[in-house]
Amino acid sequence: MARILIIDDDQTICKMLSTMVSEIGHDTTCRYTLNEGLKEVVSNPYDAVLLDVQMPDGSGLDILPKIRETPSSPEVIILTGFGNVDGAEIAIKNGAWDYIQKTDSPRKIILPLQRVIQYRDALKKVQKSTVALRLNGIVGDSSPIRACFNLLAQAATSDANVLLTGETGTGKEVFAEAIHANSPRHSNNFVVVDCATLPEALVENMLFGHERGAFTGADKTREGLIKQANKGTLFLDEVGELPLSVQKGFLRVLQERRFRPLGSRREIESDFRIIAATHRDLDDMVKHGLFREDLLFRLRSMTIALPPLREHPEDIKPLAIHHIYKLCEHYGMETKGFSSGFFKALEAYGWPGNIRELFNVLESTLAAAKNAPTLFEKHLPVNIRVLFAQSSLRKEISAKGDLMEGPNPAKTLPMLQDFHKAMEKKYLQDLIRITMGNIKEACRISGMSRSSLYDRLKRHRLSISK
Amino acid sequence: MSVLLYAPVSKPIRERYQHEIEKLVPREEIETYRTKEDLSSRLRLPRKDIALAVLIATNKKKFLEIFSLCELLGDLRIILLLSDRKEDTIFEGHRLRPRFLGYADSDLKVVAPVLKNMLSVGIESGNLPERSGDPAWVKKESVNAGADLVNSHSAKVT
Repeated sequence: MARILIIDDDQTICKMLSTMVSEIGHDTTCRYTLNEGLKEVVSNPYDAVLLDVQMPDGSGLDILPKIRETPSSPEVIILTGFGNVDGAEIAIKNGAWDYIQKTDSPRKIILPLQRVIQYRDALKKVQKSTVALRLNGIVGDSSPIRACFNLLAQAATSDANVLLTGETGTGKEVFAEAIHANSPRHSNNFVVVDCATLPEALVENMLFGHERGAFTGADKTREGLIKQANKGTLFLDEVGELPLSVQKGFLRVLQERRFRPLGSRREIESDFRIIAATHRDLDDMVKHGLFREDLLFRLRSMTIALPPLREHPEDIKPLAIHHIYKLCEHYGMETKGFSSGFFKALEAYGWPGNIRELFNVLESTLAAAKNAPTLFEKHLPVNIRVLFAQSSLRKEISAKGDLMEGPNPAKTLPMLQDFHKAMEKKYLQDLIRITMGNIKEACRISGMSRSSLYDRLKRHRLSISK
Repeated sequence: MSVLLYAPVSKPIRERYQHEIEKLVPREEIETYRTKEDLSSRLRLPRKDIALAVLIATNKKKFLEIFSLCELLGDLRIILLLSDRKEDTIFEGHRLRPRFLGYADSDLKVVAPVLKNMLSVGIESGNLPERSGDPAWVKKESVNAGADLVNSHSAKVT
């Protein structure tokens, strides 16, 4: 039995919905103001909330994010007397399950509610089966990361192919390992295929293996990585770099789980599970003929999109503490303490290189701090401290500016130098996007030399992977 | 930025690997270790400047020594060359999560092209730190062992 909360000021509607929900076997509670509704959902767990938009004490859309953030994180179905496109967009973007007009038939309200209940049941089953989820050192408690943990748990209990997407440094490989570690295949091989670094000429040889004498220099039979992943997991890292020439052959292996090593007359079988990862937009690559659509379709039975660190800054502190402790242990150092300013400085930075960049910075910081028992902002690299100082200053100026009355021309125009910098950064971002990170092409379009381009990218802390 | 080479092998073999790596990385930027103790001590020092590690095991004992450093190797990018092709050795080898797993007795010529790509891709994607001043620090000489392999393969496979 699921628990449903109805928040609507119209008592007739509440009664009608309550009856309908009870008839399909679920428990309901009604509240007639937003304030009462919010109090109720904070104090008691619910699976779903039916929420009216126009309430005497405000708009239901305003409390939608708060409801989603409550401990039971119920799904919310918005009910409205007068549906409008903008309202629907706001609702969905804020995490609503659905947006329904009250004038629709009662069945139209009950159907999505039944789907919510099915979804929550499935989620509870997964959560029960993953009580002891081995996270392999993945740290984070923000809602974007928790959402990824839920998907990780689902991926681990199924045998579906998984595509991990996300910017460089967001932890795709660590997630792939965690899926494997929590799957029934965990006692077998986790085989990494680094598609970006295997020379094109070697990819097939490494994947499929070869027979002795298959070509000059093949004086020993080589077992391919696909065979080594038998009963385990084959992790295709940077799958977007897999040469088109190999994609076709690999698709066949994925479909049939059989392949023929180079120079061999017979096919061999391998029962492997695929986890692929990429920082590229594979749909875009498909559009440009750089990636096979049928292969993409096969690879992403399930997708986990890992968020960039800037989208879950609340995890910076636990990540930093965890990593510093780990480093101190490795280096045989006393555990360090942290000043509050240290974390503020870390949080003020944008982390274009994500968690990997954070870890690299922490390693430098530790080296800079030497035997100091506490880490302060001064131990951080200069670029991060400068940004922190600038951001603090900007906040101060903005706070002062807000107190001033009347137009403030200084607020509307930036310094010419800042404007120039911002424009240059925007140009470089567009250049990376248009060329999909191809440095040669970027140099051709921009007319810059390779070293000059790298220099500017570095100055703006941009990575060509984006 | 350095490449860490762990080669607990005879001098001629070590020099052959060093030679392959030197095609890509200046000699002074290759840190070579011959004993597990030395490697272990190095891994307990800050290693921000290490781009990746080439680890060679010429027998099972040497491999187990490498494996015992698993925790210390952490997320270092690894090229691992195994001593044999036995199932259990390969299984343990994959547990080190190497970016490339090959064999000490046959993959000498493969190391250079793989290393070259790892260095270039690593720098371009921000996975590896740049060498000061020159981002394209990977030596430009052509390293075409991979191409040789495939060319000869195309010529002979029927």
